Amino acid sequence: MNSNSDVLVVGSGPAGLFAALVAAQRGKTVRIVTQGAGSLAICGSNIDVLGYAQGQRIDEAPWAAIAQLAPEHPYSLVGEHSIRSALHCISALCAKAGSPLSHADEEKNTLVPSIVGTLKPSWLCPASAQGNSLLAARRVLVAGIEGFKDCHPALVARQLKRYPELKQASFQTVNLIMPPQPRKRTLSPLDVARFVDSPEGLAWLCRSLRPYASTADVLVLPPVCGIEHSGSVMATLGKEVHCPVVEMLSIPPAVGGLRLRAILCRELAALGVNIVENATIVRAETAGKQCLALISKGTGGERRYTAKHIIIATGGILGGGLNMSPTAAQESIFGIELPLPEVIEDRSQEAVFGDHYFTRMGVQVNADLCPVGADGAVLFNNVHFVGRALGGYDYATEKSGLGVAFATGWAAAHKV
Amino acid sequence: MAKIHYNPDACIACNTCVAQCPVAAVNADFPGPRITGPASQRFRIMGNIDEETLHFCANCKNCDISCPHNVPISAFNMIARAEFTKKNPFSLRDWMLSHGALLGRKLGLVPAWLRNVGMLNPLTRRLLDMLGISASAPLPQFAAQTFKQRMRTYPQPASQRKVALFPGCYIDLYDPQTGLDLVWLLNKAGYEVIVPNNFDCCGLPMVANGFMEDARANARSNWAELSSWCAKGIPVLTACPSCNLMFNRDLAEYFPEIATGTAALRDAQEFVLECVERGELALPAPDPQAQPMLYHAPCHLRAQGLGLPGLSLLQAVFGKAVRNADAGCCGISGSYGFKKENYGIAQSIGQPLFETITKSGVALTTSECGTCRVQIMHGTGKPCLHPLSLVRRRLELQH
Amino acid sequence: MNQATVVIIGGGATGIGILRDLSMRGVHAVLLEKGGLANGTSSRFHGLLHSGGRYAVGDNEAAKECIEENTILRRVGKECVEETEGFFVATKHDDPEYARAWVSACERAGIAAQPVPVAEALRLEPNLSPNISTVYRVPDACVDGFRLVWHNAVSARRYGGTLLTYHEATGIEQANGRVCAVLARNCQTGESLRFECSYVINAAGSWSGQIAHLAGLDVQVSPDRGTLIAFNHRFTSRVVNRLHKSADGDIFVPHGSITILGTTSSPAPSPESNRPSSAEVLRLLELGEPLFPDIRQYRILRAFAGTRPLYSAGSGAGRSASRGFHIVDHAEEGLHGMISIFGGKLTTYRLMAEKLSDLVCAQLGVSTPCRTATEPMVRPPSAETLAKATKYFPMHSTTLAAHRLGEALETVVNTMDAEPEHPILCECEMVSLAEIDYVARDPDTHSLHDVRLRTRMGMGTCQGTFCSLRAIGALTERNVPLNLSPTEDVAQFLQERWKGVRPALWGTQMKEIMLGRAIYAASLNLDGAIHEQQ
Repeated sequence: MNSNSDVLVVGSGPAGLFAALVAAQRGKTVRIVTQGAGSLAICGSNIDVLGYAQGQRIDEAPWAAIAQLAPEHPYSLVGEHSIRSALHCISALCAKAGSPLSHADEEKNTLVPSIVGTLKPSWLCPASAQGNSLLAARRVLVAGIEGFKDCHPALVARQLKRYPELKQASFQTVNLIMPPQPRKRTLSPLDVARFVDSPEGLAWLCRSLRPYASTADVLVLPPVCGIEHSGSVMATLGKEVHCPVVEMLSIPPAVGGLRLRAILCRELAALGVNIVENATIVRAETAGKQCLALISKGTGGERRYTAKHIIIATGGILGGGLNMSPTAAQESIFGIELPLPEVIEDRSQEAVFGDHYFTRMGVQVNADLCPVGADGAVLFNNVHFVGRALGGYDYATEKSGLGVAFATGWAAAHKV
Repeated sequence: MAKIHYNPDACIACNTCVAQCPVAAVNADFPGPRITGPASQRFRIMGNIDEETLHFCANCKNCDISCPHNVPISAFNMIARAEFTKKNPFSLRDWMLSHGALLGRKLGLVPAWLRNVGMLNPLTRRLLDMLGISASAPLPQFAAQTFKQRMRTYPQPASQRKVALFPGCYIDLYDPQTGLDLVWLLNKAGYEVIVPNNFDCCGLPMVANGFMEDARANARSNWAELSSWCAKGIPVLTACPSCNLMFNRDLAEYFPEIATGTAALRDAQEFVLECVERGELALPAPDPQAQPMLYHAPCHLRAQGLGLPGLSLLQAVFGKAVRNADAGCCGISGSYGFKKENYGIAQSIGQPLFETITKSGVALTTSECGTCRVQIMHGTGKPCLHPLSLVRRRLELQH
Repeated sequence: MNQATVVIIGGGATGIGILRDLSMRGVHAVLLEKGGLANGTSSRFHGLLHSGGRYAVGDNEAAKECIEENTILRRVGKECVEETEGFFVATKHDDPEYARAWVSACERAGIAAQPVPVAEALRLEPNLSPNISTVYRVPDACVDGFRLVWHNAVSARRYGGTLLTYHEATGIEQANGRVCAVLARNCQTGESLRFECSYVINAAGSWSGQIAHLAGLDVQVSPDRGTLIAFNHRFTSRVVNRLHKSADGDIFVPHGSITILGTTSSPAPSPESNRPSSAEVLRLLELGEPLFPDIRQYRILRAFAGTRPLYSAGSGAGRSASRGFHIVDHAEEGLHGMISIFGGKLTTYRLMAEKLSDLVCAQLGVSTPCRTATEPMVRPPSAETLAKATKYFPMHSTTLAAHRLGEALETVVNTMDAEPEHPILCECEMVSLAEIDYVARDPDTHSLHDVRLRTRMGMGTCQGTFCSLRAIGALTERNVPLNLSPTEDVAQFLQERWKGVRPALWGTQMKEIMLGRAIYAASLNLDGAIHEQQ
């Protein structure tokens, strides 16, 4: 079976979904082929742009730091305009879906607390985070849920106090009690968020938090403020509780990422974008510098997808877009070889959070995000790489994951 | 059995499947696919595990669909279930639910109306309820004549171009009309349809209920039959996504020694689309007057990596009147939702889909899978038809 | 002022075995260990309880010791032993002459070696290579080295033995040709201590040269490094040895939910030289491939290395107790009361302890006989406790937890009985909060690493990605006085795991590392917080 579209996107993580969406908004027919549900199911909804550069936390001016990044960094390739446009676009989308994102300040990062009592510099946060209300607070309530294994308020409070920014704050902690319900599984934020999506769950959350509104300046919660209805949950909390609520960053399964995923998928469906699930691309048909088709394997045989432009959003090592063996690193669809130090130990450093070679490994591209070879020559004119498949940046250390995903997704969608 | 099924290495515990599992979303006793699948697998190899939550798995495949790392999660669960069934007392209920084809054959001598009265009257339903089949479950009704019986006298124009049809138990026993609609479309495209006698139940219900050896026996004869048709160059089609999944994916996973060669069952909807592409079947332009309808994508279709050809067909003839409900699993997953202990879970899983349909105000819904349709009708009270039936209607209307 | 009859230095299997043996005979003994229990070689080997088959040809005497001790340990330490049995497997490339010699050597040593038809072996172990030619079945088993040490320690304490972990011996005082005290430093507090004693037992394994040096003695012990690979799943349910002249990479051991392949052998610059290299990992894979052809597809969890103490007998005034191990009474060099024990293997630790204790007791005039060969280490839990436990240990049977915890099972189960929630914090190895809580409160637990060794928390698929932070949070919430913090302890935990993954950074385990980075660096900013929290 042969299927044709203007744009073929491979991968359904943040970069792929967003690239597909922007291309569809621009009037293209778009098809997504994906294996797996992408990384949004395991990451939070905070959109980081750039939190660290040269080991220094960026509180004030990420844009100035972005301008200083190395030329091979994806941000340098797409430029500030693309980054800002992408962020504007995703903000508008979330606002339209009733789950607006917010800034601390037009040009500053926001420090967002996590379930282990750390702070992370981020750019766009769910409206609930209400800017830097945590840092402005003198009295902080950290709430957990009784029976949670992933979040313990006592730890969060103790660790947050270790930040100079929060030295003056006083902390109280509480574990909210969910209405009794027979269950054998230990509760996760996902379970509670699903409960809070229901009217009785939302009423419970309001009721549980209200008593603390008078004794705290900010309520810090695990990410439990709904998934499908997070926008209206936040709005109701604002009306009913009268105290800013900040959600903590957490571990998978991710509530925040599922919110973003739901918003993106709904919009894609409305735009008529076709998603082929559980399909692995097994090879590419190429002629010279053109990719003619990608071939997937599904039941009953292979399927051939043709398109004028192909956007590859297959992720890095984690997503399966890059593969590593003891002797080689390769991009997974076109088999593009990535340069690699021969000795395995030279690919990383001894310190677990060191400056590792392998964390920046990825496909090298030109300003059109088309892959280039070791000699800098373009490999395919109609193939654009987006998101973590790209080399030249370490999103985990610099805190730029969703920022790069959306910025490159936006840029690629404008090259097609 | 393939070695890979003993090997849980590909799972990195990312929890994507946990977030996407419909059962875990509504049931707080189920630890989720990662735990019952690859995580438990490491302990199963040690022979050291009780399976007290394994029965929650609906085999809906959403874990497999969402897994970014190709971990055969549902296969771990089904193979473990087979081991469990081997070692534990036999459930008559599970046997009945998984051997519908056999039961259907045995009951074949009894007229359908009597069978339906026999099976669906309040007294029998109470008895079935005692056996563990929920009295509220939407058990389908037997058709007066099976599809195979109807086909014996169905007039077809002879043609050099032939296709064979694997109807699957649902169409054969309960819903022959959908099968006839497919035959009508294929005839129209210039094909003569053969319904081979030697195909048996695809075996998926047996796998889902732990009867792996029975499934293996069916797989062996079915695969031989399929291969013989494919060798003659005659494509074999099915309109049922679950049968297709069983033949083309699960068989290779569970019984790789059987699923050899290049034979493949074809998705009938995709085949019809190809007929259109080849110019064998002309479709009318989208009907601007078409009444709005919602399409539900069966999980077992989404798991196949072939997209949604049924939806493409519908969109070709109804245009924007047909939309993808995109509201997740319907909950039924074959016989899962018929079981007393699962009925409530199945209804909760289906709730978002039912609500989407109800709120949309459409009068008509459509889906390829027989039990999905039963569940949607049960949950919404709205009719639900196979896409092929709707396409046929549209084509007939045109004339 | 601290006083003891005997001070034992070294908290590995040998030292703890001696502590238990002496304590059971009523001799007042104190053991000093500079790290946590079994942090040296006793937890850094392949976990094989030898049948003796491996030594039958080269050292028949050692093989005899092995089979005897193997039989004893199955009886007295069944909580630490998994009776898997073992295969000796020859490939078509191995010398059939060796196999013949091996069979008769096994017979001489009293090791039951039964031939197994190849087809039957492949049915039992389907992942074995179809190209194997000869298979014998032997009574090999698997032993959890750490658990063995721990249960010995609990038993020793019950008999009045004193065990001080994180206490480093810093000096050995002597007067008139006799040892009279050991100086030590509490590594946690920095406090200096002095233990008056009549005997000092040097059971420091690879470190025993350094300990001897404290007493001004010179013994020839050179550490030899062995690297091993831990695979994510149990691809063999039996120990598999290659039936050839002992060499590198020829033993596979199923160890709980994982499989261990070992080992290499190369001279190490120091006993601490336990960082595995990628060259060793690749070499092991190459060596293992003839027996398990899919080995490169199996996921490596980590590599790890330990050092064996190689003793060059004859250089000192040593007296050989057997060819497997050496007991040196330094009286012959003019220092009375100082005894060193070298060599041996984990399988024979009990015998070594017995022989050494016999020597000390003879000198002390204590005539109580050794009882370690007959008295089980762990008193089995009551039926009532077991019945209760099955309610709370879902997914896997109670047995694993019961074996880990020994007599503490009752306490843990009673805690669970009193609490409404019973979360499993480590979902890969199925470890409950109650067990982690109990172990964390033990005075001998000082770090998350100690918790890991006793519970297996963090030793499975995700290598602590999820459970380490959960454990710290839960223990903080429950006021366990360990004072753990993510920026220090999770970071340290991850660092330790990283050391093992780094030389095998490819394939699925590299994905796992990337997931860990996504969680700890990208989502939680632990890497930044380390520098920012005060």
